Formats: sequence, structure tokens, C-alpha cells
Amino acid sequence: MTVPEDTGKRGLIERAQQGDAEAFARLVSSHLDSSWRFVRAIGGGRVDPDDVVQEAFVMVWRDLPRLRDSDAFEPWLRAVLVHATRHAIRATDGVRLIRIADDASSDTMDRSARIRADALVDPHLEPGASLAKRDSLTRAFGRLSIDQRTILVLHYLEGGGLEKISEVIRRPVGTVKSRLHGARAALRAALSAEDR
Amino acid sequence: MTDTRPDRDAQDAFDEALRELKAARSLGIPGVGLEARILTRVGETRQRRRLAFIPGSWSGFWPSTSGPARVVALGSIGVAAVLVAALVGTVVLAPRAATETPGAGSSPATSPGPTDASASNPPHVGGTCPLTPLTRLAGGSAPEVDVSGLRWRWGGVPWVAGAPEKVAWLADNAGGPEPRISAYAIQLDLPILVDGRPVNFVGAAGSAIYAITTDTGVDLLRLPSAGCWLLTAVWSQGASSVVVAAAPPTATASPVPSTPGPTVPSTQLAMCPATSPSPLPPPQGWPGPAYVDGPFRWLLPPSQTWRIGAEGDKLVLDSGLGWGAGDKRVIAFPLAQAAGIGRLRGTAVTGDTPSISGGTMGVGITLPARDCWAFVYLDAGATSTIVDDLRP
Repeated sequence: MTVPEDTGKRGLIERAQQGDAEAFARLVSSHLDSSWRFVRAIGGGRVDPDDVVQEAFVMVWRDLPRLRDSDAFEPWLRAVLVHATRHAIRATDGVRLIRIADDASSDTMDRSARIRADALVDPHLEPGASLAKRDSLTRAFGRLSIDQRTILVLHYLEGGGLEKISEVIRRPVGTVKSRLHGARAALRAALSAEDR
Repeated sequence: MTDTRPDRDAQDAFDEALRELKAARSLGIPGVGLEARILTRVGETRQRRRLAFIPGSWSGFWPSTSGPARVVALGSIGVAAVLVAALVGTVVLAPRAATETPGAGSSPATSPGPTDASASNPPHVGGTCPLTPLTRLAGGSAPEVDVSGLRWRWGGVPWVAGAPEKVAWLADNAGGPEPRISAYAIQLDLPILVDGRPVNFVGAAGSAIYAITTDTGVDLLRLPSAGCWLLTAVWSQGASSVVVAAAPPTATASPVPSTPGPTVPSTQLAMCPATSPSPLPPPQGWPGPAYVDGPFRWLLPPSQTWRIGAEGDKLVLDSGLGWGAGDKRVIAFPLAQAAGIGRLRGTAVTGDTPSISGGTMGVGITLPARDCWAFVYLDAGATSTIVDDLRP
């Protein structure tokens, strides 16, 4: 018999809430990549996503028994990731993060994947040219506040609707709408500043 | 006719940026061994369980980590039983609470809950302790105050000097558990109402600062003496203050001046949780930073040129609510990390009588040292709190 995916995930969460380390390991495994990318995106280049994700999952493990509605796990996880990122940014305020890769292959993979994706985005551009453009975008994104980055990432990268964002940032839908508007405006302004 | 459409180039650049963002979604991978590191850390970390802490009548309204627009307790209540601490004074060093009633947080919660009621303090009597207006009674009995982004909830019984009062600090804007709270208590030299009569229990000499740090979001506070108390909570996202009155332990207690207890060792904070400057720039010509907390805008002298130990600098407040009659004051005190429970080495400083002009208020204040300072404005209806880092 096939267990429906939702039921399976809910079961995993509930078992992890009871302290089942194996169930938690499976949860980590299934959410690790998306969590890492989420943190990298909202961190604006100011945090090491590895460290933040590690701390976030420790928080998740510690506080999971207090999560009363297992269906709310996804937005709750996002909220914990935002919190951990914010905390890490505060801790590194005034410190510029220079990441020293402890494994060269991961950077190599990152770069080659980036070039492939560049080609997908705009086949008429040389990968190098598109990389420069992406650097400029990264800098513009880094100019935004973490709240602005979070709302843009949730909306445009995660494809979240206003309701979903509202669950993560714990604000009413109306507030989400106005903040999304503000974040778009801020990104436009930051892009213009980069162009100048 | 004017073309009101967005600038096409700018729109193109924006759309392109969004495409880039989406493309970037598929890029990058976690570092090698991250998953193993997480599981190792998890193996060393105990889960927080829903242990008993709050009276049963609260259970339906305890914040949950689930669902939208729900408050998140600042930290776990699970390990609270072993981390309970108290604000203590000279002789108040009662054993930490060991018995708690079951049922804390045993059901889903939204805030405010369906049986929450609006609440109010007794009418303010001019010149007496300016109790912070209650926002509601959670569950019909637990007073709550929402102020400066923090929700304070206490046990529903009047504060009594020397008796433990259970306080929870909840944030409705937290993205997740934020466990660490530092709470400070300073006695104000203002009378409280006892049986309807104002009685002045003279504050501990020199405005002693009592402090605790909790990493549970719930704690027992024990105010060392009767009187009017300013309580300030500082956490990573901000600072918040309330004013409460602690009744004497017995009706016959005489208003004898209390003396501050011995100090506990304290250390300077590694990182001052300074308030983020206002996104709106200060008025033209103002040389220092501007901060906004609630309806108040604070304009401070520049941190590095603030005159220390001498009169001369004034800070300015604008109020979006206007200024009512009655006592208004600004109190500043240095934040520090106490090594135990008790009195910190420094003392609180009260600003001069404010001068009001054209909707703004100027307050002269003499700070004795460069430090991480909390500034609290309070009047009969409101408090506002900011933190500024004046360290070199």
C-alpha cells in the first residue's frame, strides 16, 4: 500500500516530535537543499548558509515538540530559517564574510551549475557576461533588508502566495501585500543604483 | 498626455532581475558533510518538551508555534522549570519555584484568544505610579500588555513585593523562537495606591538596577520591595518597558525606605542590542541618529560626541500622540550581563524635567559613562524604549 505523501510527511514530523532521531534525519535530508538555498538567497551574501542551516535545524529539533500542527511545519521551518539568518547577520554586523571553501569541488560545482543556468536564462549571452550581471544583481539584492529579501524570495523563488508568506512572516495578508510592494520598489531602486 | 506607465527600461531590468533570481534558485549545494554535522549536533541537543508551567486556565491561549499570525513564545517553556530565576533584592532569595501546574501550552492558540477580554488598570491618579495600560486579559484573567513589539503577560494576581510573579515575554513578530531575554527592574520614586491611598515606598537608594537573564521566555520575577517599578526587557530584536506596582507583603507594612542589596558581578555586553535607526532621516540639521519606537521618535546626540559626565546634551522626543498632562520622564540605565541574579553595579539616571515646545520634548540627561544604554520614556499612558551604544 502506498502511503500518501502528506500522510508520510506528517508521520515523519510526528515521530520526530516524539524524539525519533531517524525520522528527524529523514526530514533534514528532504529539506536540506531547499533550506540551504533559501538561506543563501535571503542572507544577501552576509552569512554562511552552512552555518545558518545547521543552527536552524538544531533549533527545529529542539522546538519541534512544541509545534502543535504538523501541517504547519513548512512555514514554521521557513520562519526558523529567517530567524536564524537574521540572528547570524546581527552577529556578523560590521564583519565582512569571506568564505573559505573547505571543499574545492563544491565551489567548482556551484560555478559550473551557475554557468549552465546562465545559458538557460539567456542563450544569447556569453556565460561570463551573464555572470557579471548576476554579480550586479547579487549586490543589489544585498542592499535590501533581510525582510525585503525574505518576502521577495518567498514570492518569486518559492512561488508562495500572499497567504503562504503571511504564515511565514506572521503578518496579515494586507501587510504582506504592502511589504511586497515596498520590497519590489526597493529592488528596483537598488538595481538602478547598481547601474549608475 | 502624460505617459504614466513605468519606465520601460527599468521594468525590463526588474523583470530580468527576477528571472535571474529564479534561475539562481537551482544553484549551489550545501557544503559537504553539512547533513552529518547537523545530525551530530542534534544528537547532542535535548528536545524541549511541553512541561507544565502555566496555570491550566491559560492553556488555551498559550502561544503556539503553529499557524499564521500566532505569537511565538520567546523561547521554550519546556526547560523553564530548571532555569527559573527571580529578581531578588536584599533579603529576597527564596527558593526557585519547583512546583508548577501542568497543562502549559497543551492546546493550539491564537492570540488573542476567544475568551480574552479587554482590560484596564484602575484610573490613574496624578502623580502616582503610571501603570502601563493593560491591553487585554488573556484567557479572561492574565493581564497582557503589548508594547514596543513585545507582549508581556503575567499571572493575574497583583504584584506583591517579595512574591514571585510569573512573567512571559511573547513576540508576535518573531520569525521563530527567540529565547534570550534580559530583564531589568528599577524602582521609581513614585507612590502607589494602597487601599485607594497614595503611599510612597521610597525607592532603593540611587535607583539600583536589578537584572536577570533568561533563555526560556518565561520566568519568575520577584520584586525586592514594595513600590512603583519600571521593568524593561531587552532581546535581540528590541527593547520594551512596562510599569507595575508591587504592593507591600502585608497590609500593615510601613513605607520604610529600602536599601539596595549587594551587587552581583556583571560584565559588559559583548554586543549592545542597539535599536536600529529609523528609516526616516532625522530632521534637517539634527546631527545625531533618529529612532522610532511606537508613536515616539527619539533624536539623540551623536554617539561619539555625547558629553559624558556633564550637562549639555539633550535628547529630543516627538510624539505622534501629542503630550498629555502629568508626569513625564526619561530614565536611562546601562545594560550589562549579570553573573547571577540581583543588583547590577551601575545605577539608573533620570533626565531633567522635560521642556515641551511645538510638539517636541527636550530632556537633558547626564550619563556617567560610555556604555550600552537603554533609554525609557514614560508617562501616564505609554512607555517607549530604545537602546543606544555609546561605547567607544
